[in-house]
Amino acid sequence: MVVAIRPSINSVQIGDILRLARSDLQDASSQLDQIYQWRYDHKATVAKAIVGLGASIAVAAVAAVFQHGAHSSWVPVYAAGGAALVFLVIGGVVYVRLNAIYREYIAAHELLATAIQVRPFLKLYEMVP
Amino acid sequence: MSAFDPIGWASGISAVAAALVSLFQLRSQHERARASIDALDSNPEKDVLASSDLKTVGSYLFDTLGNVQLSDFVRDADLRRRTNVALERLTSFIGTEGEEHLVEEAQPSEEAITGQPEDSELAKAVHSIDQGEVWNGLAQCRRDLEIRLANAVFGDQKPERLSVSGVVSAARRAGILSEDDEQRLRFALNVCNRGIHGEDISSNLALEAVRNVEYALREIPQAGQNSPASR
Repeated sequence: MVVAIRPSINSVQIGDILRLARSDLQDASSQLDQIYQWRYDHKATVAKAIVGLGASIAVAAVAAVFQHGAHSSWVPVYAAGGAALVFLVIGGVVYVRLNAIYREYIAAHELLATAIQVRPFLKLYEMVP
Repeated sequence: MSAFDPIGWASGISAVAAALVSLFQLRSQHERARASIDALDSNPEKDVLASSDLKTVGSYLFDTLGNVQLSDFVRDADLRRRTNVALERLTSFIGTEGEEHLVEEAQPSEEAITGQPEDSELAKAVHSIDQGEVWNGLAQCRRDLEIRLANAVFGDQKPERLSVSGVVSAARRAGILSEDDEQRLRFALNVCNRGIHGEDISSNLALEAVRNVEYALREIPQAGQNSPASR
C-alpha cells in the first residue's frame, strides 16, 4: 500500500515526511524509497526527452544545410541550430541536477528517522479536533 | 516556403519558450526558498514552544515547517540551517524515543498534597488539565518548573543546552532543593516528559505532577520575582 501523500511527485515537503512517520506503516522507509525512485525515473525521462528533442532538431538542421532547396533562407536554419543547442543544454542541466535527488533522498530519510522518534506526539496532534 | 522553414521557426520559438520557462522556474525556486525562510523567521519556534499549546506546536510542525520543500531544503544553505535549528529545538522540546526514560522514574513522596497551586502559571496548568488539555497543562508545568528553577540557580546565565533534568541536578548541588523535593521534581518531570512526548497521561497523574512541582518549589520565587532560597 502506498501512502497517498500528495498528488504531485515533483516535490516532497517536510509535512509529507511527518505524515509518513505518523502513519502506522511498517515500511515507511521503503515507501520513501519508492517515491524517490519514481521521482528519479520521471526526471531522467524528462531529461532524455529534452536531449532527444534537441538532437532531432540538430539532425534536421544539419540535413537542411546539405540538402539543396530544403530551406528558403538561413534564418530558420540558424533558429533550429540555436533551438537544438538550447534543448541540449536544458536537457543536460536537468540530467546533471538528478544528483540533487540523491541528496534530497538522504535528507528525507534523515528527517523520517527524526520524525519517527516523535511519532507519539505526531499521532497525538492528529487527534486534536 | 520550403519544407524546413516551419520546423526551423517552430523549434526556435519553442526553444525560446523553454528557456523562459526554465528561467522562471529557477526564479520561483529561489523565491519559494526565501518565502520559507520568511515564514520561519516571522514565527520563531521559541515563541511557539513558549505557548505550551499542543495545537500551536503541532501546527508549526505540519504547516510552517511542513511546507518547506525538500528540494529547496537541499539546495538552499540558509533554509537548511534555519530548518535544522527549528527541527532540533522542537524535537528537543517534545523529546525523542527513549529520552523521557532518562529521567529517573521516581515516585512521589508519601506526603499527600492537596489544594490549588498558588503559583499563577501552575494554576493555569491545573486549569488546562481540568479542561481536558492535559498536554498543555504538562507543558505549562514543565516550563514553569524550568524557568523558576533556572532563575534560582543561574539567574540570567542559564546554559542554553542544559535540559530541565540538568537544571534540577544543578539546583540540588547548589543546595536549593532538598532530597525530598528533588525526588518530587523528578517524578513530576517524568510525567511531564512522557506526556509532552505524546504518551497518554491521565488527568489525575498530571494533577499529581503539578502538585508535586508546586510543593517542591514552594520557597522558590515565581518567574519575575527575586531572592532564591537555599536549603
